[in-house]
Amino acid sequence: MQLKEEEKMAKKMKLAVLVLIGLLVGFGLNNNGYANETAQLTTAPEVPPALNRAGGAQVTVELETTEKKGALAEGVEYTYWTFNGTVPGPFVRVKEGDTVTFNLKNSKDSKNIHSIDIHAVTGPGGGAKATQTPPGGKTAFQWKAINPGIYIYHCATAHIPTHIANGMYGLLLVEPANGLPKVDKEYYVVQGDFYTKGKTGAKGLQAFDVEKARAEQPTYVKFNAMATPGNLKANVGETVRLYVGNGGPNLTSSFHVIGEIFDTVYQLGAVGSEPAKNVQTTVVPPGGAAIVEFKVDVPAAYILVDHAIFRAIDKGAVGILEVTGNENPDVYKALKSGGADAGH
Amino acid sequence: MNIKVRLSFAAILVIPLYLTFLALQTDIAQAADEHEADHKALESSPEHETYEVKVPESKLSEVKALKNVVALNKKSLSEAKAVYTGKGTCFNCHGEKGRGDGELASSFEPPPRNFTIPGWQKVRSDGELFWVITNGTDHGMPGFGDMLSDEEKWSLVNYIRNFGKHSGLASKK
Repeated sequence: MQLKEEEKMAKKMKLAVLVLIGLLVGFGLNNNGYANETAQLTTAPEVPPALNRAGGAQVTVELETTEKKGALAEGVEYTYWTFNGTVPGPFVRVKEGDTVTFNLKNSKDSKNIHSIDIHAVTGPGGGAKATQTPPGGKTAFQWKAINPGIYIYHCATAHIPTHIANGMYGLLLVEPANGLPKVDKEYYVVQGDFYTKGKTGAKGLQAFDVEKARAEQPTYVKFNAMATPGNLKANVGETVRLYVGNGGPNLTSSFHVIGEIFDTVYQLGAVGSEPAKNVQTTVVPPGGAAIVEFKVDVPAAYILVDHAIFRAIDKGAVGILEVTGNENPDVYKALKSGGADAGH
Repeated sequence: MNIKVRLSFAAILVIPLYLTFLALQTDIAQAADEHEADHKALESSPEHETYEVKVPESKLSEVKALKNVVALNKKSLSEAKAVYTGKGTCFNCHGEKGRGDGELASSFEPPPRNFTIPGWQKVRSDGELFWVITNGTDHGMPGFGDMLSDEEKWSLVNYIRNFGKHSGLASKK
């Protein structure tokens, strides 16, 4: 009898040791950075917080393609094709060394096949080959984030230019292993050019005009065409980082913030290269992006523009960064009022 | 009845018959000419290039020998229509009536296939249609290899043939 009891105890001990080993192994793996996580996505102009962890995680990204009506200008509607219902699509943030599982769903209400080509992906079509997704369908692929930088993603289903012209693009950041320098505010802006049957300002629901698109004569040029409305905000003394993408399909942007100088620019999104300093206007080509950083010293409404200025003033490529705080006369002060009496 | 009257009757009967015969001959000859002209026009037209065989030479005989496994009936056509206007998204480019005039047609050059064109229906076998639906083309037609089942693709072949039949054509099996 006693022998049997001892055998039972020994078995229990063995089981306990196995469970303990299992727990330790599991804990150890998590500590080594092989965590599973679902990427936090944000709608422009918001950016997900910096990743406070090492690279090498297993990250899942979920996107859904949809086709929906939205405003293109006051009184002007357009049927956008989107990732997650916004233009640009959500901001995706992963880290160098992460393995990313990308799940793409195409809404059953879509009329078209959609897909995704992520410029950060090393592989066939940047993922487009694996993600041609019919309405109501789902596809997936896995890739490793090898190169840090800020990358455009876009739909790559025939006729590709039409899908892009209708708004199917967004940005994905591969943070470098040590992260980017800390800043106070981060925002997400993507420029796109749009081609409507009616002239600029013609009211009502506007159809896509492929001839104008071929001629590269947009009726509208927009920042964050169908995203969260409102101004970007910062306080005097803060450093602002803008992730600036260009979905195109056609125009190269001359991105400029009126009344500011970019202290730092990762030109063409080339994280890892020596950034440029003291830049007034930076080029952002279609299918490309840049990261600009600047400290805001003076309160004002700073206007983001494509400095090919007809696009800004006449076609809509305008955004506002609202900076509040104390005046800083050492840096800037008006010397004479421009009031109604001026000149009289 | 004298001979003159008889001859007159014969003439009254024979002359219209002869004229009818001549007219028919002309019609037949004209039809043949038109048929030949169609072929010549097709061969010399800029569209002729788009009638080129899409299937690689090495696979052509195998593909042409494929037989449609889906029966042609109301039920299968109705299912095919659901694919054509639904997840297959065919209508966006090829149009609801198969005339190649869908909403996105103008984005493509050459334009999407007009399934009602007699010449095209004649030169394409069912197997080739199935192959193109599966693999796509260099002109922007996506391959549906992973997106549709074989049964759905064969149903679409029937549905495409139906566009031809509606324009008075028989399919080429």
